[in-house]
Amino acid sequence: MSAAPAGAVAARPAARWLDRVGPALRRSWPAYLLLLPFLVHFVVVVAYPFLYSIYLSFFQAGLNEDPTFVGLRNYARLVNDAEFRLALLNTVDYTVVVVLAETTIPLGLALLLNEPLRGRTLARIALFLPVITSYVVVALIWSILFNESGVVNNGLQATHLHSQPFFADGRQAMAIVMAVGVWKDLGYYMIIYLAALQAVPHDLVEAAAIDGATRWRSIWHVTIPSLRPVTYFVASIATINAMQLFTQSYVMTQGGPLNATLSVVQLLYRDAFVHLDFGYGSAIGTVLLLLLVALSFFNKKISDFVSR
Amino acid sequence: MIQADSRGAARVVSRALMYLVLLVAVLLAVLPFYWTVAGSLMQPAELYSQIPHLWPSHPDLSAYTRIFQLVPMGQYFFNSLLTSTVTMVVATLVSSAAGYTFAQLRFAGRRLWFVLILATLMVPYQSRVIPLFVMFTQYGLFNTYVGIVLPGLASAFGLFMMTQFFRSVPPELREAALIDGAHELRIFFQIYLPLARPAVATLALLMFLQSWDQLLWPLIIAPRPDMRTLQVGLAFISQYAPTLNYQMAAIVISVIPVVAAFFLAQRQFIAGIAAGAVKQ
Repeated sequence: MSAAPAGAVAARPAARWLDRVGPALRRSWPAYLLLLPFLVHFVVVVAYPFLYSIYLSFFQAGLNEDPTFVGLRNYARLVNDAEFRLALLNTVDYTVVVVLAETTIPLGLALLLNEPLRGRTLARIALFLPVITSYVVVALIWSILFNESGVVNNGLQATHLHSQPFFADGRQAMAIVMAVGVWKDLGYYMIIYLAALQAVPHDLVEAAAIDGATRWRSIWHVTIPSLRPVTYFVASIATINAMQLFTQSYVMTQGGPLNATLSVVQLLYRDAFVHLDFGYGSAIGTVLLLLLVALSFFNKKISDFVSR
Repeated sequence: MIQADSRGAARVVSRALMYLVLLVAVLLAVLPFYWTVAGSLMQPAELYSQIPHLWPSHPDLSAYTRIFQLVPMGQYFFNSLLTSTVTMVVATLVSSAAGYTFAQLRFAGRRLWFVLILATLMVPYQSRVIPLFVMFTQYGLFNTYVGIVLPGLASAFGLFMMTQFFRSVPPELREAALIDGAHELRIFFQIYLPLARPAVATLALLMFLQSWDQLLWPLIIAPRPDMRTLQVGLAFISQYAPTLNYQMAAIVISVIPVVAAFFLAQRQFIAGIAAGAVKQ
């Protein structure tokens, strides 16, 4: 007897809730129909694995073992791991050199190709060739060129210079890995600069010319300063890409000689998929994530400063 | 007079300098490719000769047939073509549909989802690779095409690119179609998607290249020799091809489709890749 009124009381808020949500649902379901594939994919292969990787970094986990909670042990190990420190140092080294080169050289080339030179369309295509080839192919080509008995060494000997150890020497190997990174992406950043150059206000350049400024002075004082936002943009993408160095050093040196070209991502790959230490690998991944997030915030600050 | 002359001379010198720099840059970009093609046509003796030959004295295509015996190049090609094509078609459609929805439709949770997706753009792909591997092996996706393809079937970058595009399309089109009784799905596929053809083509190109070029994920999830994609196969090529001329032939074969497509549509390529400035 007393159950009916109680049920009615309970039903009323539920009905009210339905009244509120019902129309929203009715309005929203076609949208969700179109969104569903994306959202399912997002949840299953992006969001969940992201959280799972942070979770795993607090566990001892391998291929056929149940994960056991180890607290911060993986991170403690990371701090004392000489290999990790070296990988981090190498990656930062690589990033600094490559980002400097990739923000300046493509700018120079773009300014050059912005001049009415003959054959510049052809030059643009040629400089874009490394961009459309994959990192693996580019790395292979360069490792063939700088092979012990490759064409570069033969050329050096033919001109009575000493042949070089290249991949057997840590510093030279790293220099080649850097050069390959720059060579591959030059054309890409050049195109971004070229697009930005189209947007440089003509009247400013003309005004400078009327004032008697030489070509070079007007480039230096008018064009380049107006490219500041795109320069910042290039620098920040180049930084994020460089921090994720993997393919070149995997293909050309396997991180060697003596870990001289070992990068953070390569160490992650090695620890997780060669030593099958998923927990430790995840800790490395989490540190990489934090580094990139920190860099992005840092970049944002610089960007705000630059565009002020 | 003298001043005008020196100005003219300075002009000529600076011109010459510009051409010189350009020439050096072009040579640096092209010579490694040139040497790869030339070397693939040489016999090892000539390729390794102490004084480098610039062009093979007896051009010889035998490396191109031999490489197919040394490694399953055909299989690599098939694997790459299959996985990249599937990725391109699905990722382009899924991301375009989502981009359209965010740009044109109002629905519950719109803000929240958008912010969530935006936030994960910053997460490096490499930090997700381990959990993905653990999940995928549990579900039997190790060494399968589904395993290779699955993480790339939607793209947050593609979503933002298409949202941007569909924001520029007037909403009246949809409203008129709704009044005519058309269903939302039909409106997207028959009205808005065809309108977006240039943006869709750009996105499709980017998705194909991204999938074609990737190394880390297929290396982890499909290392079995017959499941290797072209990039994974090439990464191991030095173990199977004893001399450099075979490796060079493999490289040339592997870049032919992309380079051919580039020369056929270089304008679209350059514009498309520039549009994909924020990769991954």
